[in-house]
Amino acid sequence: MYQYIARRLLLTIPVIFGVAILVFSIIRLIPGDPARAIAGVQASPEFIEQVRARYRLDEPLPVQFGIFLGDLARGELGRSTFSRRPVATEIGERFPRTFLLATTALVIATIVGVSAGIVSATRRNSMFDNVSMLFALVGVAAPVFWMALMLQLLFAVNLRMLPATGIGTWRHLVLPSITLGMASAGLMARITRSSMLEVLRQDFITTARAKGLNERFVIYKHALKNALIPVVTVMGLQFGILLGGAVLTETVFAWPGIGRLLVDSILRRDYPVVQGTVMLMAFLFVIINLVVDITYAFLDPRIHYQGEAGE
Amino acid sequence: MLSIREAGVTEILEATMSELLQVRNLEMSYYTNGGRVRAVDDVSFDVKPGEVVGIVGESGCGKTAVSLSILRLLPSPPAKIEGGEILFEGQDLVRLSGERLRRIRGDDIAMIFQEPMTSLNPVYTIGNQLIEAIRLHQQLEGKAVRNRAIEMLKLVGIPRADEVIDEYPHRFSGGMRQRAMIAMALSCDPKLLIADEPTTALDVTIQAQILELMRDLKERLHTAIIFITHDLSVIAEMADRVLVMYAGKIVEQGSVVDLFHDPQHPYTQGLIGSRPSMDVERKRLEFIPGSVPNPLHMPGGCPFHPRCPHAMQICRREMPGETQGENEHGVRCWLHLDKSDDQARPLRAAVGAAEE
Repeated sequence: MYQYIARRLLLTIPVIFGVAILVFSIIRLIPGDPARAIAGVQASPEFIEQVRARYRLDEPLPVQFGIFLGDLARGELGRSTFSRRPVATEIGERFPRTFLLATTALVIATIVGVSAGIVSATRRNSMFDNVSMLFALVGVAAPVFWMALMLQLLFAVNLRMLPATGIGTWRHLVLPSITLGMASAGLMARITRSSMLEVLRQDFITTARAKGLNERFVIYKHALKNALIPVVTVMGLQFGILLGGAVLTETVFAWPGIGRLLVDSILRRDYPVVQGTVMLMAFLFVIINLVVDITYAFLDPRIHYQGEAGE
Repeated sequence: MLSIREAGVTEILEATMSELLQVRNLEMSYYTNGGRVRAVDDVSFDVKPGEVVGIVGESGCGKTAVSLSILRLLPSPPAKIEGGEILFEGQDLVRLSGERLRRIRGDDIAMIFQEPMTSLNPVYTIGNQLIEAIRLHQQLEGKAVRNRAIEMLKLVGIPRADEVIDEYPHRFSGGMRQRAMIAMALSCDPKLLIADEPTTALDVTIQAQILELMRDLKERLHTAIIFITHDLSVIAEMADRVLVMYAGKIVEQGSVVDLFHDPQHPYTQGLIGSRPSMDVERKRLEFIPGSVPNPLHMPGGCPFHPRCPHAMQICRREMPGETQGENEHGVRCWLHLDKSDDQARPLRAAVGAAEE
């Protein structure tokens, strides 16, 4: 098991390195002068020269890359050309909010999606199954911004139960996290259902029933653990997307998170912030995938044994 | 120690209650998109305590459907038991509540399946799955449960049982997994073991070992066995009595000796005739012409008539009832029943003669 985890950890290094190359290239590949790009459109020639010197953009590319990696390792991501504050501070302020929103949404999606999926699978073609799969379809298919607006209209404008926008209390969290969670819940319900149906057809389920186990044990002990692998995969992907891409939701609910920071920075051509944010998101994705891989090994013993056998 | 039922007790049981399992006029259908398929049609048979009853037939003849119906393990829908009764020690399993049926499953009646590779749960250890069965039906606590599990593994001939118990099924070979399945099935001293093609998926040497093991355990534990297979040589070795099934119906039943030496039904004769023989060299194997009918378009009358060399006019119209010979040797065939000359006219003009 430890061997498996160690190997997975080692495999993340080339991925992070690759992402670093891509992020490093963003600035250098755009047409024109990278120093001008970093300094901003309206910067004076003197300032551009200052930037060129500070970022050592006059050095050869490999040297620049070495410097970039060194900075990265120290968490030195440069300064925002818009706010003039360090990128790390900028991200550090926004990221916890996005993390809170994404985690809440994922918890909602998991609880609602997985339980709806299980019940749907065990009562296939029942009323519950049909209704919940319809909701799942709507959840997946409805545009997030439309869902957000509808929820605001109902709960904030008409019922006046919850604030429409902004941050502060837990009540501000409810609508955006439901909006985000609904789409993921739909996807997870469908994945859980089909995965459960697949497992429930297996011979070992009949074995479990033939032993005299009650149906709850058959489903929650024998079927669920086998059915969870695709569910965990989707959970991981969804969490990655929620952490990075909740731009629409953050915009509609005026939730100052990392997604909005990224979009705003792109629009402002605030390259240091773009670099830093992309780097962070890539890093998070790698970590999530690592956690997902390790979870697989806990769910299915064949996975880490297979790795060992391959050596 | 193993609580192996002693021979004396079994004899008393046999004396007080002659039949362990009585299946009466069982009807089971699948409701598919194509329509209703009668997988089990008017099937009746008995199993006595300690007896091995073999069920033979081609794929799709309903032998597995019968075995799964006994413990109501068929997914419903599409399967539905539509009639008859399955009396186990006097209680009708067809009408028993789910809760009471669960108490019988794995305890009084246990089952092993065809595919040892897929019938164990891959994400739990052998021990976990074995202990689960023991804990469910036996009044054992703590360490005793584990010891019982290890003892069962030893009983079925698994080496290093005390280490192997914590292994996952994927580390076991097919034969070992089937042994583990047998250990699991026998862990609660069942009165009846239903073995659904337990050796079909195994290669021949392992097959022989598993049969040897089952025969040995039967002697020691006095468990009645319903042994399902399409392999006649396995039946000849294992069974006391044999049921021959065709298209969901029992066409012949009798003791293994009677059935092999004096088969009455043309289908049984065909099956026995199509076995390779050690004595006759280089003879082409006999076979039954045609194939199993499509269950959605079952021929009327006797379902075997399109393939039967002796088919008569009446065979096309009506399914015959059972005629009982000596030794409870029963057969359902018009050849053994009274009929008029008109009814007895051959369906096809001497097929054999035309070929010569």
